[in-house]
This record gives sequence, structure tokens and C-alpha cells, in this order.
Amino acid sequence: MRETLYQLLGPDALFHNSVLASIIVGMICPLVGMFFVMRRTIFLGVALPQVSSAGIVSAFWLHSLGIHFLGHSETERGTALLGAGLFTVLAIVALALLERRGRGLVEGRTGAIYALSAALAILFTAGNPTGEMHIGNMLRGEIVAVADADLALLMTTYGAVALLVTLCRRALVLVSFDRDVAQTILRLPWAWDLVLYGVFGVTISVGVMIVGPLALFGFLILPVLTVLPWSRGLPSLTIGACGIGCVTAFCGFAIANAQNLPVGPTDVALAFGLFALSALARAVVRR
Amino acid sequence: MSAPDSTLIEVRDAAFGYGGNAVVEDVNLTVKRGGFLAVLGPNGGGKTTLLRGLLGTLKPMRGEVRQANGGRLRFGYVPQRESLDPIWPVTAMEVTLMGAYGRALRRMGLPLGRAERELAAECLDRVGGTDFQRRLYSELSGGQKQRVLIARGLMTKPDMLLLDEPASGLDVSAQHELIELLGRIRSGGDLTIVMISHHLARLETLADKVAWVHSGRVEVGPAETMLSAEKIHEVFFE
Repeated sequence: MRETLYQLLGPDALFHNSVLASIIVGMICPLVGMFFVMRRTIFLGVALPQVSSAGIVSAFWLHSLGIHFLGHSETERGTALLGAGLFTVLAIVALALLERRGRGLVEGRTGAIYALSAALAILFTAGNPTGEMHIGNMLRGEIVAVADADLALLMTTYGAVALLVTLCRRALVLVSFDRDVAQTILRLPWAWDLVLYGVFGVTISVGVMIVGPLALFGFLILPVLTVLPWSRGLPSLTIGACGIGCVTAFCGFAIANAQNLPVGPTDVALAFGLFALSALARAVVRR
Repeated sequence: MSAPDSTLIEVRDAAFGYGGNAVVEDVNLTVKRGGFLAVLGPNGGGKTTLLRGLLGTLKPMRGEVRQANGGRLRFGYVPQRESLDPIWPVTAMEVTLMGAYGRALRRMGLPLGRAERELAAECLDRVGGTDFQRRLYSELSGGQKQRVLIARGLMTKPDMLLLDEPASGLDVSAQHELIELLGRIRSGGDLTIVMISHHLARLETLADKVAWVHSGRVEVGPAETMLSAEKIHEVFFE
């Protein structure tokens, strides 16, 4: 056991960065995912990582055509981050504007954006080997090679996200729980929505690039759903979901490493197992 | 236009609505400090629209809404309890504390101060909610939920408490308890109350003014005349 821990977490360990990245994503994503679940916008949590993936592949596609946004010396990661961020922000702005107009179904708009981004992600890979390789890795959720620069980026952005959500949690909860009352006691309630959407955008853009859309969505939603039936207040939900996410990320990595499996799907399968156990136990307790 | 000292809100020739369509027009009313205004009328008549106009969350399409204190009135808004999603695992105490969130923004991530927690406990005690303060809001009965929402409204230290159909869906006993509770809250100080209601029983003992909202118009008058059998017949049957 100690040897396994050292192999995964030791400073010279081969997968040191990848394990840390997994744990950070596993711990911080439920903090953000809580808002997807509680606002009943889980489908948005599926669609936005897909949009972000399409952004990454499209950036590589443009790169292959000789169109460089960050200059010729741009790195692959810079390209990916730019594409992911741009597409995610555009999707969030489009959805927010359509919601403001208040016409049509929210699920319909989100579903249409999901379908379009899934199609674009595949179309942009046609004849684009770099993009094809990246989307393949993303979909498989291979979190085995996280560079120092990526880990630093993840720690910085997710650290900022955690800090922002913690500092602004009261306003974010109120605008999500009771919008009418938020309008009467908070100044500029729309600004808090903007903060929340910004948090969604950053979490998803950076997360998709490092762990892929599947693992990201899994960590956003499943730990929250696992803890929700047992929660007796928001602090217990937050701490419980982040704890479950953290443990799942570490154990998932250890299992994937031992069994030679891709990490992302292993994490999600493990998270689903915990969710199923929780739902089963809750059903038994209710009887 | 200048509001007299005891006037909290003055509405002059206002129209309120959505998307360019007025729901209520030619609204003229004043809400005085310490008063109790009951807003009555048939379903879909525009009662909630009028309430939003008074709260300032809906701007008038025409006319003017003037608030005392330079527009810095503190409102304790009690929405319809069905509008809150039961998926949230929030306790009665957490819901009550939300009333302090506007004041607490400066404390950012720090826990709410002891004074706020004591005030929340006091507000819950005032509405008879001490026994269930640790229970989940979603697990409470309709009457208990209503008490918690009123406690949250009081937690804002309001100049005016606005309630949107608080008795809706409650059984007769819970309705009576609610009316008694509002009477006690009102007698405890100079709190102004505006309440939308479908239930006329015992309203005349509480309200000093009644606004009938029907056919896109608002008629305001003293409770004695506005709650007469002739007036009710006129609103609903003519």
C-alpha cells in the first residue's frame, strides 16, 4: 500500500503530475457541479465540455491550415486552451442571451448546442491528424502525461475558482435558490449570474484540456448526486461531494494504473459505482 | 413629486407589464409606514405584477414609483413557497439566514457573525419555528415553510414585508395561524405589510387598506368599504 502511494505521489513518481491533476479536478469540479445539479441544468454540464472539446479540435484544425492566433511559436496547449475557452464562452453567451429572450425550451437549446459541437468535433478532425490524436486522447480520458506547465495552469485556475466560489458562495446560492428574493436584497443580481457562468467557463475550458470531457462531466455531477440524498445542509453537501470527488480521483488513478486502464473512464465508472451504492443505501434506509 | 414623511411608496399613473404589454394600468396608490395593504383579485389579474412593481424588480412602463429613503427601502419579500425547488438540501435556519446575505456580502467567505445568527434564531422564534430550525426546508409542512419564509423576510430588517399569497394551499387551521402570526408581527412595531391573498376571511381585522386588482385596473380604498359584499360581487360577477 505504502509502495503504491509512493509510486503515485512521490516527487519522482512517473505519474506524479497526473495524479495531482486528477485529485485537483476531482476535488474542485463538484464545488462547481453543485450549481449545475441544484439549478437543474445538468444537461448544460454535459454540453459545455463537448463544446469545449470542439473548440480544441477546431483550434488544431485552423493551426493545420496555417492560421495562428498566438503567433507561429504557439504551443499545442496554448492553441487548445484558446479554442476551448473561446468556444465555451461563445456557447455560454449565446445560451444566456437566448434565455434572456425567454423563448423556446432551455433543454432544446442546450441539446442543439451539444449536437452541433459533437458534430463539429468530428468534422474538424477530418484530414487533421493532430486534432484527431487530441480528440482521441480526450475521449479516452488519458490523464497520464500532464506537463509541469499544465499542472501549474490547473492549480492556478482551479485554485482561483475554488477561492471565488468560496468567497461568493452566499450570493451564488441565493441567485440560484431564489432569484426573486435575490433581486430584492442583492445589488446587481445578474452580475452574480455572470460570475457563476465565468466560473463554469474557466472550469470547463481548462478541465477538458487536461482530463477530457467524459471525466470532467463525471466529476462535475456524480459526486454531488452521490452525496445529495444524505445532505442535511449546504456545508455537508459541499464538503461531502468534494471529498468523494477527491477520493474517487485518487482510487480511480490507482486502479487504472494497476489494471492498465484509461484513467478517465475508470474514474467515471468508480464514481458511478459510488453513486449507485448511495442510491441503493438510501432506498434501504427509506424502507 | 414629493412623498409625505409617512409614505413609503407612492405610485402615480403607473402601468406595469411585460414585453411591452401592460398587465395593470393607471395605478395610483400610496403605502404608508405601519400600514397593512391587502392586494386582492381574481387569478391572472396582475396582483403579482403589481407586487413586483412595488418591490422595484419590475420598472413601470409609464408613470412613476417613488420610494422613501431615496429609493433605499429594505424589503422582506416572501414569495410563493412552491417557487422554491425542493432539491436544495437547505435547513430552515439556512433559509432564514439568507435574509442577511445582502448585508453579509462584505464579509465575503467568512461565516456570518454571531449577531446575525442570533437574529435568525430570534426571527424563527417570532414565527414559532424554533422547533424545526434544523430540519430540511423541503421536509417541512406548507404552514411551516411559510413561517420560515416569513422569518427570512424579517431577517432582512425590512421597512416593508411583502407576501405573495402566503395562505395559498394551506388548510383552514394553518390559514388562521398565519393570519394570527401576521397580526402579532404587525402589532410588534411599525412594520408595513403588503399581502396578496385569495382568502378574505379575517382580512378585515388586519388590513387597513385593500387594493382590488381586476380587468387590468387597480382600485384602492379603506378595508371596510372594499371588503363589502357589494364590492366583492362587483369585482367577481359584473
